[in-house]
Amino acid sequence: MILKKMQGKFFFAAFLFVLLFQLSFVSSAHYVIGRVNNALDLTLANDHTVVLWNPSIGLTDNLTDIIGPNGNSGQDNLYMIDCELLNNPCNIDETISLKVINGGDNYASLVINITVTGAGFDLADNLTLNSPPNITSVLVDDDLLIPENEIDLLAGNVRDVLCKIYVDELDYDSLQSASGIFYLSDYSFSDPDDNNSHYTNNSCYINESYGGEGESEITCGFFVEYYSDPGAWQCLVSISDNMSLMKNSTDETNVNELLAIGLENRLDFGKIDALKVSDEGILNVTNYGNVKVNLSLSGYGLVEEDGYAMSCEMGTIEINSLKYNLTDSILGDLTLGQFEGNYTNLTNNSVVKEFNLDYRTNDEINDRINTTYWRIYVPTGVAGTCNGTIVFGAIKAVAT
Amino acid sequence: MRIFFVLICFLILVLSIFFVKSIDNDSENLLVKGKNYISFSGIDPLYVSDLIKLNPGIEVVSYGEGEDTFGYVNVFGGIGKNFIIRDLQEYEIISKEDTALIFPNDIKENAG
Repeated sequence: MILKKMQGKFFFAAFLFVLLFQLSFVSSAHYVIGRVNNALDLTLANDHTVVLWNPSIGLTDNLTDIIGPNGNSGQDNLYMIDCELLNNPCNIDETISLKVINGGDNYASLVINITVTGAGFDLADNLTLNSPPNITSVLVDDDLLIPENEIDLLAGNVRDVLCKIYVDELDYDSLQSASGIFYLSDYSFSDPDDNNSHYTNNSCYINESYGGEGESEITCGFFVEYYSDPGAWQCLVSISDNMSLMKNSTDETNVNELLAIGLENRLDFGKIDALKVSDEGILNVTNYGNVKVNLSLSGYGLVEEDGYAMSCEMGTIEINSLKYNLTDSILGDLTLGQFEGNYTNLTNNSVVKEFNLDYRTNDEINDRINTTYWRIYVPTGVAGTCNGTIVFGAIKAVAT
Repeated sequence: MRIFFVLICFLILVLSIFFVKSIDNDSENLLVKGKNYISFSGIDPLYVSDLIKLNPGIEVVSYGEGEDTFGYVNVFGGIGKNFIIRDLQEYEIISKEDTALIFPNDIKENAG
């Protein structure tokens, strides 16, 4: 009895096995077919990729096809995907989603849904290749009208540099974000920010009310420091629409050289007896430009080229009685001979002296400050308060 | 007893194969509306596009090969891989209507 039961089960299992074995060779397909229109900027849909998935399962279980002759359809602008090939094959009345994915060229499409029917195949609604924002122009310049396309930095300060971008969004998508990078051409846009060579603005202003429908004006502002390297600079802007399709564009401009120095303090020798050499006074010179500088020096009492270093309430002090040392400090009281030997005469006419004060490279502190050392000899016949002028000029030093 | 048992098993296997084959081949050249699983024998190879031209009631013809499936759909003038219909390959044919399959030879014979 038990043997008979087992034999019956065996026959049934064998029958079932053969049935399944035979049916496994029978293919089953349900094609989803659709058309993808070319982008409005005339980029062809062919060779872009359509992805199909069941949204109730998720995008991880998906199928793809290449649009056009190189895909399953073999026809321009068409795709065909057998949704039975999903890991979880499609069933009648299920919703299937489709879209063109961004393959790196920033063309994609919106998502469409289709319900699987019992027909031989299903025809999806048309997809349209969505184009990235079309940047019609990029202009980078400072806030000065003249000269055009040149950046003139501001001594010891920042210059407002603006990248103006004009965009025509053909699909009328709203712009999601705009960012800009202003960088020295010798560097890469991907380098880190550095006031000498690289600035980033991740939140440029988008004015969508500019122009007609789909048109926008975008302004990327950069506060460019006085010590930014001179030379060719690029403004690279990246814009993405609400489909996260991105477009980049650049414009080049020139940052001009800026020769500028500054003196933070006045030179006050205090009270000096006649026939004495003063104590050493110091003047700190700061490079407020973007080139290495030497100094030109001259001086006068009351008016230029009057031959005096100072004009006093009573009498005057000759120009060559005021002397400087641009490198070394000499401490202590000096005799007239030591004074003459260690310091250089100031002159009526400007004289260029090697100073080699480089421009700033440290974003945190300005370390490009050199000290100059000064003493004055007071002759007889001079009394009261004395005033004079030392004229510092910046001369471009030859880069070494 | 044991020989009888083995013979019965063999008989069941053979009958099962014939039963399954009969699902496909009982109506070898007849298509029903919907899915049909058909393999042909004794036909001259022809492109699937030509088969569909002769049988406009066919919506889709497809077959599997390994893990791939190849299909041809009767829409937009015919899209998909224009494969060759051959003997002994099993095809899924989806038809819009009940119809008899027509092959080029049928036309020639009728013309003759």
